[in-house]
Amino acid sequence: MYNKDKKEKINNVNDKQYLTFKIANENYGLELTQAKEIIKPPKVTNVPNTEESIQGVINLRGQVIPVIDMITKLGLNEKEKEGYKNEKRIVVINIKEILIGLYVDNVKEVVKLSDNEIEDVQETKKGIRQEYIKGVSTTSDSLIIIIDLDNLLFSNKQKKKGA
Amino acid sequence: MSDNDQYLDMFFAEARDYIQMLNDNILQLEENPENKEVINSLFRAAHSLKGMSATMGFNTLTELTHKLENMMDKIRNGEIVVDTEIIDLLFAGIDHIENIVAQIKENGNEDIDIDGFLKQLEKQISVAKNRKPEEKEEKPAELGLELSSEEIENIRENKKELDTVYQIKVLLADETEFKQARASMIFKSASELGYIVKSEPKKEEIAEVELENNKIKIILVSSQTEEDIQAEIMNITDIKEVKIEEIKLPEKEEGDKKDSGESKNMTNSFEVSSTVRVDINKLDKLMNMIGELLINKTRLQALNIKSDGFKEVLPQLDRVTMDLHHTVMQIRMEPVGVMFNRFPRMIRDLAKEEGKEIDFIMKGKETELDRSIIDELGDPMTHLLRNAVDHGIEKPAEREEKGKDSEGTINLSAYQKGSEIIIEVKDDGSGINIDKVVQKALTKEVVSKNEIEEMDRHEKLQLLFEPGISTKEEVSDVSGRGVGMDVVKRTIASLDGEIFIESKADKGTKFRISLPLTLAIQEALMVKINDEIFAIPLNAISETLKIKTEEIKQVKGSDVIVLREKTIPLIDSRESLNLDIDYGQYKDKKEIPIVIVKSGAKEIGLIVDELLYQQEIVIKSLSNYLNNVPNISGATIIGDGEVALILDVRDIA
Repeated sequence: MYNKDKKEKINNVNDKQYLTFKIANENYGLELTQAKEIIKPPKVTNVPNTEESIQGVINLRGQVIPVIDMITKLGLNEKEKEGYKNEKRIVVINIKEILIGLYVDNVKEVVKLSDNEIEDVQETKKGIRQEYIKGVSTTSDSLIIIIDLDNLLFSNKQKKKGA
Repeated sequence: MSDNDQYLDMFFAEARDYIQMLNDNILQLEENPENKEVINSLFRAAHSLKGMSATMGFNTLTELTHKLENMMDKIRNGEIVVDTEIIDLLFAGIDHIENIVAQIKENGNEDIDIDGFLKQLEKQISVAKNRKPEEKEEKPAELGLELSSEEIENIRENKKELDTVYQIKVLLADETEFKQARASMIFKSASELGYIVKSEPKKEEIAEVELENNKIKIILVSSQTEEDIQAEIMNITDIKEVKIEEIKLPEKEEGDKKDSGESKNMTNSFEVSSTVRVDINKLDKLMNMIGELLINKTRLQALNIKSDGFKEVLPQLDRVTMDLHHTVMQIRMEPVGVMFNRFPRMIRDLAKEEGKEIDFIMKGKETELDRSIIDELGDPMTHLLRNAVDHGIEKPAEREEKGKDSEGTINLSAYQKGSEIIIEVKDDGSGINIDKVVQKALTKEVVSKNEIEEMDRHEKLQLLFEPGISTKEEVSDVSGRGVGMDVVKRTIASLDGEIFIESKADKGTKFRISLPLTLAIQEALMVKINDEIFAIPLNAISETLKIKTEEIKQVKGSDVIVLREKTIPLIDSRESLNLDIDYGQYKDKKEIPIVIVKSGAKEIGLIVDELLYQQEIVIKSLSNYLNNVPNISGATIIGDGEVALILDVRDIA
């Protein structure tokens, strides 16, 4: 019985760690457990005949992994792609046993948030599709949009390049 | 987790071997019910399996194998006559074994209800028991002791030229008081006369067993004459009768030799030879590591360090890497027989089920292929063979009507041709009904009417590989697994192989599958397209050349070149890769580099920007996230550590 109580206590704490990064001047976050590593972008090889948000593939220590351009994927304004030149990073995530790189503008920090600190979103000003967002946290000084990676990466794929 | 776990893998691997052996042997037994060697081998396999199961604590499996072993024992002793019913029962037993093993593998328990089957087995065994006495009566009189081929071999080796092999039957007087003492005296005098090969009861057993019918049988190799032996044994008290016959050893014929050779092979596979069982995953890992090594070697080469030592060590490194690669490739190779072996049983069962007579011939079982390819190939091959039985071979009556032999033939053969392995499935059945295929393709809207009119016979046949086309309407047990020819083709394509089909009405159908020897590493030509480097596998290239703009001709509005009187269509690689909106740039060039690539009988000229160099590439998958990218078959890592994509020439062509 003692064990059970203890467990509940831990659950009550309910803190999860989030990795936060910037895409087109907004703060975004994803669960730290999903992130595998953060790398400086090597040369990305373009892959033809794939959807537009697929920036290409990179060599991650002998493994070929796809890199997703988050600005295109989230449907953000292309203009804001500029800037942050030297700060751009690829966040490598492990999802459904697949390694995928997310191309972001810069990586900020790791924050602890509890579930009740993340609010549901009614609408977003930037017009990001709502199913891509798990929630929004406003507790820290700035707003953090928590991305729903499952929906973002595995809901219906979009239009092909050059078509 | 228990200590058993570490043995489980070994158990599964060995169980698989024994199950295969049982299947093979039962098939042989059906062909040749009298073959003692086969029965013995069968018995041994069941016995070993039983032992293994008992050790691992699998009670159901132990009981099942025990019963089967009993049954085989009865067969061995001639108490059960092998007929179709028995063969089916044995096969069913093996299926149960397989199911239980699969169940254990899946969730660790063996909760499979086999009571019904065990009862059936019991029945057969007890029927045999009842039959026992009547058969026994004539047996001892007629048959003496049987010599196994091993024993015959033994005699042959030890017998001197003047020695004769005798069968001696000694009958003790009914009223003998000290039977055992008498028996041991008989053995003593026999061993003085010569060499006892075999006896019943055994010499060691006479102290324990009651003498059955007061009889002792001995097979003796001796230089003495019949009379001398007779006299010698009759000297012992209480002997009622001594019968001696000379035994002629079977001639050492060609066929005989082959038989014992085969049986040796069977027994050999039980023995521990100087081989090691290795988990295939470890080999995969090893292959990956060699891939890494190769990539790093290429990168090292690209550094192009200006030093004598460097120039000296590089070729050495090159050689070692290549040797290593070839050795591991060799280790990964397995004879296709490991896959083929399950087919005779399958064909037999299917043929029986559908009332067809089929002669199934396998050739080239020893042909070797990469293990991972063999693993993947099992399902498509099964499908092709099932189709051959199900849709190909006609019922005997129908065949006779067509003037064919009532027994159909299915040929399965494998052989190496250059750097490719060819596997063929050929039947002499009804052939594929092209009209039906076309009809189906039209209703499924796979092709349009206009397209059909343009197609020749061969192209129409290829429609069979499109999704949703299957010539038989009803889904039978056979093809009811939801696998179609499109899946077969896709699987083979994923192995970088190709499948071809030929068919003639009432003459039969032939599928030809060509596969690369190994998957992981290939020679490739590197080309530049739109400033990116791409690799084209060398086995898909027939030649490279540079042409001038004037050489480009027009046929039906498309660009072609004429090469040795052959018209070859040109394809701009930029277009097939959607790389550039402004196609046809090549026409402004002085020299246009072209790679002539082939897919089956088709040849096309692929226009690239620049021909670079030839290189060994390690083929990597293009991430599961990007499945089925058109015209791209995979990726590799080149000298500078960047990723280069591999062009799927077959897709482009």
